[in-house]
Amino acid sequence: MSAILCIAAMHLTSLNPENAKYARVTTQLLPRVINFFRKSLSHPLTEENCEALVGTALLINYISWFDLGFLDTSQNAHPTAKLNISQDQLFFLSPCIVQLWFQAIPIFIDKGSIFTDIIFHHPRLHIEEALWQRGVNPQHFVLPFIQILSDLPSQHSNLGTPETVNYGPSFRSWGLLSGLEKENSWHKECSQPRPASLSESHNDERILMHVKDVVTTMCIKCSSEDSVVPSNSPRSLFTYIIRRLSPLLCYASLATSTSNAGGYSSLAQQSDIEQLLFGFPILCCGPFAKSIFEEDSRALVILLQFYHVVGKLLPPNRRWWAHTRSCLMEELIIKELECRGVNFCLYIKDCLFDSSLNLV
Amino acid sequence: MFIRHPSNAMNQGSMPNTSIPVSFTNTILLPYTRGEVPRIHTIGNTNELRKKRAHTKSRRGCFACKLRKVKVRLDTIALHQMCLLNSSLILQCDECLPCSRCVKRNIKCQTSPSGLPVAPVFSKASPNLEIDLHPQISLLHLELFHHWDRETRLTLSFPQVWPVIMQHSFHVYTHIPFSEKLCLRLLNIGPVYYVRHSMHCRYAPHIP
Repeated sequence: MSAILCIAAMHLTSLNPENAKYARVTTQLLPRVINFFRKSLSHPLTEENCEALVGTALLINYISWFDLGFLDTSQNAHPTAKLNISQDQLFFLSPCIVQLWFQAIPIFIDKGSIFTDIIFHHPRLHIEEALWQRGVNPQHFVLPFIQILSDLPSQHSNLGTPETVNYGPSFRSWGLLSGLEKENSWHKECSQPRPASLSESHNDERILMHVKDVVTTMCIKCSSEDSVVPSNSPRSLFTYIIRRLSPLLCYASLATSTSNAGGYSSLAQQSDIEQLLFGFPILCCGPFAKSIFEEDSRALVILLQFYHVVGKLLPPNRRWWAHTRSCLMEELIIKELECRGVNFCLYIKDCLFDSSLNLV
Repeated sequence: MFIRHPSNAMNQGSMPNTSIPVSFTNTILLPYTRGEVPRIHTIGNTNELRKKRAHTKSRRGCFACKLRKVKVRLDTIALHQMCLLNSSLILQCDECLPCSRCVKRNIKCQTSPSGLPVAPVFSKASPNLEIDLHPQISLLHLELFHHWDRETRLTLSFPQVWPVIMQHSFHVYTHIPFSEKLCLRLLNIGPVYYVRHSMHCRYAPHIP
């Protein structure tokens, strides 16, 4: 309940910035939300509490989107100190949400929870399909982006050097996501027409059982102490991330090059885009989170594009939770990159047609 | 939430439900939907108001019994002595100090948490519009919940899960149902925006 009230207070804060009452309530409710959530996480996941916990995790992710308390907004703060991205809760949270979700999936399936709908829903696949239908390659931005990133100076390694293997919750979550990527056969099954011999409910049940088996196996594998997360070269890491960002960049490009506001034609696509934008930080765990916290220029460039797309694609009446963050972070990352001598310019407009991605 | 307004019952347009024999009047404050104002809907026989059952309310019970909602018995002393002798008889609070139930449960018996006697007084304080962390529900909480239900959740992804999460939130919030606490607070605070909850039914997410 505190999370619900906190989100409502944040929404009211965004609608009535002049009324300090709501901002004050938000500040009061926030620690209570975190405390309740932390205490609840210490209990084992059961049929009774898993829906509430996952729902609260989603709400806390919205709260983290809106909360910019980590930024140093004082007037005399140095531009590079202002960003302070290593304290951004939005990216700290992702391992928690990923692990909670994976542990909850088998329970949701056994219980027949409403959350199983989310298992069947794949916003990225829907968006990619819609882009193919428009004659646009959803992975259009992957190669140009990788080229740009390989030209950028890095504090640690070039794109080809594999990172050392790491442990910890963030890397375990990364292992889960990578494992899911390899076992994604049911994604395709969901979007394909089912065999005529199978009824719809029977087919859904079969897919859910498969998902449950895969997720349970992966959780057991990743939870063991000696589990090793496979190392990624920075190239494969950034490719993984940009592949998720590229369809959104394509839509942003369509939005600027056509008169169709937002570039999306239906409510369903709008909802898919929104879910993909909301969930993108959840994917940013493991080695990519490490790059973000180290404020690696390459990670900052990816985040810059992400926040730019957020500002472009979310419709005004549904972007209250993301609007301030996207504007402010875009501005601060640009300043940070300028301070490092990286004058990065990505012309999304008409990029689908003339590939005018540039490193100026 | 059914709020009975006997004085209004005669004035409002009534829509008696003929299928159920009703011998009293209930006036319901219906919440507004977009573009409408809250309206009052009267059910039942508008000529006959519901009669209130008479009862005597005691305010002298100990704090532990009040907390546990133990009924109070007013013919006390003899019963108290009897209960002390035979603990199986203890069913109600006898209002003695210490009372029989506290003696039986071996807990401290006091008339209020601070030990001071509790007197029935009317609060002269102004309505609480700020978050008060100790009494957990305030009018501002209600305003926030109203806003969540009417506006905020419609702007979030995963629309199918929020009704379920709301149901859970009432169960896990405290041991006392949220709706009851809200209603009690509202009765003390004053003006009602609207309440969608029955005192006896937990949250019903799809009431129009």
